[in-house]
Amino acid sequence: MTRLVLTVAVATLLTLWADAQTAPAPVLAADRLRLLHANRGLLEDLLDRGVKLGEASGKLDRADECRKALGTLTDALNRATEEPAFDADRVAELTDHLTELVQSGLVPTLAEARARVRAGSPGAEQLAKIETAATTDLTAVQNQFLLDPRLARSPKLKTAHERLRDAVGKITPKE
Amino acid sequence: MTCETFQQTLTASSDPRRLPAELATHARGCSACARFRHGLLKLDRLVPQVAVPASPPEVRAAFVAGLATADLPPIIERRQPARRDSTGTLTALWAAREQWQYAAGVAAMLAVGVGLWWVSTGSRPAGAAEVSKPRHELLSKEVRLLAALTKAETPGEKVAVWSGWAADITAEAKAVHKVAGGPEMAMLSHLYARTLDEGVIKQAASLPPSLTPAERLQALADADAKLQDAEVDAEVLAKEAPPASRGALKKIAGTAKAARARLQSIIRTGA
Repeated sequence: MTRLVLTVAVATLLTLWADAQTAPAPVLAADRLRLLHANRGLLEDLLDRGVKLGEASGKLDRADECRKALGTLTDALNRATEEPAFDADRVAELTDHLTELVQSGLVPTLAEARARVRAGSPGAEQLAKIETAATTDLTAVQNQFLLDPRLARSPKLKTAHERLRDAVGKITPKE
Repeated sequence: MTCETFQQTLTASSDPRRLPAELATHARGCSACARFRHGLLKLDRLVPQVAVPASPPEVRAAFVAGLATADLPPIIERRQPARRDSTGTLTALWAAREQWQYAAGVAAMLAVGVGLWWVSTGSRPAGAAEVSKPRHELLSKEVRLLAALTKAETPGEKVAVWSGWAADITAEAKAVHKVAGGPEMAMLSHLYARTLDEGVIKQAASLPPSLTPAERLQALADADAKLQDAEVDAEVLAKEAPPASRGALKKIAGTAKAARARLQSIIRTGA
């Protein structure tokens, strides 16, 4: 009887252990190294953009620099989608970074700039240009998700695309 | 945070080089605990170098002979299985027919089968069914810091963001230094130097000239502490790092030291 109970208990524990394996595992040094190698150019490009962003004075200039930083991430995303060995995880990761920077960087900076510019002023014109350029660039990214069957097939990319679409919708306030 | 809590926590830690934020704050304000930590780091480094004392061959031979002749109990005592009582219970009935083993096997297979079915079907939250590859922590942090830079208004706030950026790069160097080759470590060292020169120092130098040295110290104290931590950590790591990483770690330590001297000058003179 003891063996029977033990066997069932061990089998149950094994099952629970196998289920737990789907949780995110800690990133190993070798994985970090691989990611560092893959992102070496992007890290340096984003550092360049950070330097420019740090030097920008005024909300409009900062919003424009933030839009350019989004362009750097978009370029990386385009390269990832053009890779012969398509990596959905990489595309999802870069899409989520785009979403993060739109949500936490561009949208609040534009909102603050909008509160400070007067209608019809050169600032308002610059603001409209930044909004249009950012929306155009990011809409082109979203169109890829709709047109490329590899992007449309993956559930995780579908989720990433929906999050990006929601964030882009906040760039220009609804009337 | 008391000194006793700090020292007990650090002693229990598997890696005293990595300080959680709360401990790091305490260490910066308490010279006794900072010394305690440096002592612990030194001990940590020296223990693997302690030589095991040599023993003469005759002592080793006598020890082995003693083991061979000692009257030790057998490691596994074999016992005859006890005859089961074959009256009454279902278990006893299975035992009598020698079939309970099959029942245990079937139960185990059922448990594993049910578990596999549970894992393979959609009994988990939507979106979690796909197993994802690990993401690059440094890249995620850079993106968050870019967003933080859009919100930073003053040079002091920008120095804080850039200090965090530089600390993230040293954390990456620490994480990969045992497996990285020279080019990757050189790249991190290069990124670190740029982050300090074009971020921390540049923004520190643009603090308003009207600030007093005490106000500049207040604005730059955290950046200074982070540079000190980076210098000490990189120096310690360089001593035990593989040769391919050693040069870059020394360079990071040197860059942090030079940036710290520059910050001290800005605090004193404003330029």
